[in-house]
Amino acid sequence: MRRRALVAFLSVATVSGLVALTARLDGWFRWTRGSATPGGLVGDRRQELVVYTYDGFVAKGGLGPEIFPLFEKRCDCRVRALPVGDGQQILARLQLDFERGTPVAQVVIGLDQPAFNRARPWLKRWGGWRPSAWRRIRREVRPDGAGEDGGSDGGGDGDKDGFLPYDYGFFAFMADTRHLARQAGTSAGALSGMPPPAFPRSFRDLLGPSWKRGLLLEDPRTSTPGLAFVLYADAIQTRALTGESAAKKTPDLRAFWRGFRGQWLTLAPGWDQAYGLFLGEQAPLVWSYTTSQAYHEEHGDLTHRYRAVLFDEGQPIQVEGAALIRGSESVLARRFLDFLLSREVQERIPLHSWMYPVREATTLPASFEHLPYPKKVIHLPSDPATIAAALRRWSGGVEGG
Amino acid sequence: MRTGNRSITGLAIGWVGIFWVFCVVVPVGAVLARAASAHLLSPAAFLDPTVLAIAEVTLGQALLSAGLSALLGLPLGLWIASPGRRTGAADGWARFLLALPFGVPTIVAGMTWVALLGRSGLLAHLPGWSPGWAYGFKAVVLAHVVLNVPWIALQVSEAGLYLPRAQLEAAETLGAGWGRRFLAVSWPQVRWAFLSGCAQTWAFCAMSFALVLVLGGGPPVQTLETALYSRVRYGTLDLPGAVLCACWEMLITLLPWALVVFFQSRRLASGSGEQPAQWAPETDVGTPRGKGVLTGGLRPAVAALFFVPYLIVLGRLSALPVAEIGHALEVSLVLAGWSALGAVLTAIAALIAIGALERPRSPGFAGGAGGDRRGRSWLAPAASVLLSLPSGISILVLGLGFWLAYGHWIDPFAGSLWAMVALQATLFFPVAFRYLWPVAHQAQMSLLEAAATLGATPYQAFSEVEWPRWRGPILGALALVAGASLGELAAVSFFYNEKLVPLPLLISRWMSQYRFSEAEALAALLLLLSAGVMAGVRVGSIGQRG
Repeated sequence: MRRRALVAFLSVATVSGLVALTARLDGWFRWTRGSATPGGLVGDRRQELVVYTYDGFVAKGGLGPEIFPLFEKRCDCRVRALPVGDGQQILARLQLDFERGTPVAQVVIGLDQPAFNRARPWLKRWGGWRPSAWRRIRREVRPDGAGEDGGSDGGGDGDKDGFLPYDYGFFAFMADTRHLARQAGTSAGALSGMPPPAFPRSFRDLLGPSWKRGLLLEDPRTSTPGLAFVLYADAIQTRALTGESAAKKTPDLRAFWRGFRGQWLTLAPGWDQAYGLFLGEQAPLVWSYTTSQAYHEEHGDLTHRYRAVLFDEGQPIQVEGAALIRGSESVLARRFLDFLLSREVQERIPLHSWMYPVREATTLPASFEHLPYPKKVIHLPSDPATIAAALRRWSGGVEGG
Repeated sequence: MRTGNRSITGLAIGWVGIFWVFCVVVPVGAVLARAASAHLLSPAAFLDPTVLAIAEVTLGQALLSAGLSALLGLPLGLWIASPGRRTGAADGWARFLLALPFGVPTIVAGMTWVALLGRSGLLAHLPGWSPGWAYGFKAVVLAHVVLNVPWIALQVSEAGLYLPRAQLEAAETLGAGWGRRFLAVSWPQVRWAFLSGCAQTWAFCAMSFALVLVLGGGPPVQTLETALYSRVRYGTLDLPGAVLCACWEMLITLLPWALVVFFQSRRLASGSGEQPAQWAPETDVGTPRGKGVLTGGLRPAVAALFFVPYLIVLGRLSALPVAEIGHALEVSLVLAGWSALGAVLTAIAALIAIGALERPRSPGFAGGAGGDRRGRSWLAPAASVLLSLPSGISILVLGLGFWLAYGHWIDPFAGSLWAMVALQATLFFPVAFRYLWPVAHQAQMSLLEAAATLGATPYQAFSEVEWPRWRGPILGALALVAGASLGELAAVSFFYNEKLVPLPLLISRWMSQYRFSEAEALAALLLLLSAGVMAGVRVGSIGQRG
């Protein structure tokens, strides 16, 4: 009888606790709904700007919590940031939002070039308008500028009308010098203090037997860096073909992927999983960004254990941007795009987004000054048809066996 | 499970009907309608070579994983449940330890296997060890087997509690060997639980996602679920492609369960081969204490072997930033609580509803073996298969369906705790249903009727006859679902918002911010929580039986 009473008491207490916690959560949710900053008040009559962005942008330590309060103060408005997962999931949300016919947000942040092209139907073109600091954007990343290879992230201002770059970075392999030293049987100090002889110098070096199962890559079907690697490899292979071979480039690319398949240890679904495996010493090289080196330096890697590796062929660039969403554009939204190019925002980008600021003459932290800067920048194709073809070749090569 | 009370039965049928329509039919229908509107659900599209190739790999991996799990799980379950050597609490702890791996978050499982099999893993230091085991087909199968053997063993051991000891001893006395005793006495008692466990394991392996992604090493090692993921989560939605993968997935995962239910219903209809279930589990009488303690202690130890590898992540707990996890912890606990209640209550309602659809059994033949030889209703088995449908539907498809179907009423961008609860309850309902299904089919109708004859009210009869049988499994089901909910990521990712970020999402978020050591520490905490929730709920039932 006593046991039954105890069980009954525990059951009632558990359910009561559950109800109480739920009421607290639900009440908390209603109380803070509509405010990206803590302490938002119900009944706030300020104009509201709703922004779609990716999780990392609004998380603690991300760029969002740094800049949204600044904008709210500047414009006496309220910013509501809606995280929608990763950069690619933003596309899905935009599509569904458009189909529902009730766009919620005015601005989207975190689209790269390929994503912007795919999201084109749901985004607003600017026409003749440009943000006031437009000409202060670095030429190589500005849509109407020209890159090293003549490309400008997909070609032409017309294709990128409505795309506002706010940061950029370079994809590259990150190397674990300690892991490499262990493999080479030498001391890590010898490797980190001089041009590392064990590092691959070109993309072609990756095809060698010494890198068999030594690479950590991301799945191009589920990861932006992964897709960038496929397009990068395609671009390098295509440029390497001349004359007669150029006409047969499709079969060659499939054969390339078939041969390359043995070089990676695994294809992680995303950058975070791949980098986690890298830090867990599963493989000496991981496909990441050059700015990962800056992160480690800022967080105590004084021995430069983790180093970015640049290839002779050049490094692909990724430009992240913001855009206005069609059907819900407002003056406030345009002011926000202006704000993204301001010094206040651009100076915060390196240590919060771990990317380069697009505004010229922005002061960089020391860790960024130490980063190797690619001599050759490769602008990857961003049109959906080219990307789809590249993925088909990749898929045919790695799945076909 | 028949209640004899029309109000309760009506309520149960209504509840299940509402659940089925709003949580399964409408969302899945919304997805199919979207795909059909593009005229891409034709037979030619259904036989897409790319998807067929992935289905082939899915089948091969599931067959091997489930087969090996069954081969190991059956003898383990029988050994843990074997009568004559019980030591009460020890056997209960053995079953509890078998249940623990089910609540291991997949992110923890992935981290564990990388830590064990990876290049710098524990096993890499063994002489002769080949690193080729990691990141490939073998690693996926190994991880699946270690994860699922305890599930099958648990199902078998729960059913094995009702093995008629007297018959086994009589058979042994008459010279029957172990094999004959198994075939004649043990197998009829445990087979439906065993086959149910195998069907569930088959579904788990066929729909495997995180482990395949982490350990598979990329194509060609992939499942329909990973293929579905790339079509739903990456770039513009490829709904027709996602639906195609989902349809194949449903076909592959539900077929075994449909066969189990079909053959079980045929058996019950014929009334042959069934042993009458005992009204209470066998108790140990006369076994020398020393011998019982020794073998009793061994059972929990062996059961623990399947959970111990995951404890390797606990070494990372020290990096946990405790001050940052309070709110996420609250969200996770609330979600786990309501999801568990929702899933288990719906499972009980479903069992009541199915019981109402079954023809009355002949009295005196307790155990659900239908004595009505004039014909058995097809409704009950059909309903049993239909209600298991969510177990064969990808959570990605279900979540997307929720979005499409209810997006006009629930603003998905604002987040919704109750949408998350509904999605998780739908996801875990089949687990609770299949966990309780063998218990429901051992109803003691004759005893209930006897109690009624002696003047007991329906409540008293249920309380004294049925409730002792149900209490442990219900608590066990609650624990399983709550533990699994804590580590579930896919469902919550559809309806979270900045104020509703549960622990698994926080892990993912930290990893994207280079906070890997903290993310691993949080994964370790998640493991402790899952195990703790399951322990807290089941501790009351340990030692009740055996």
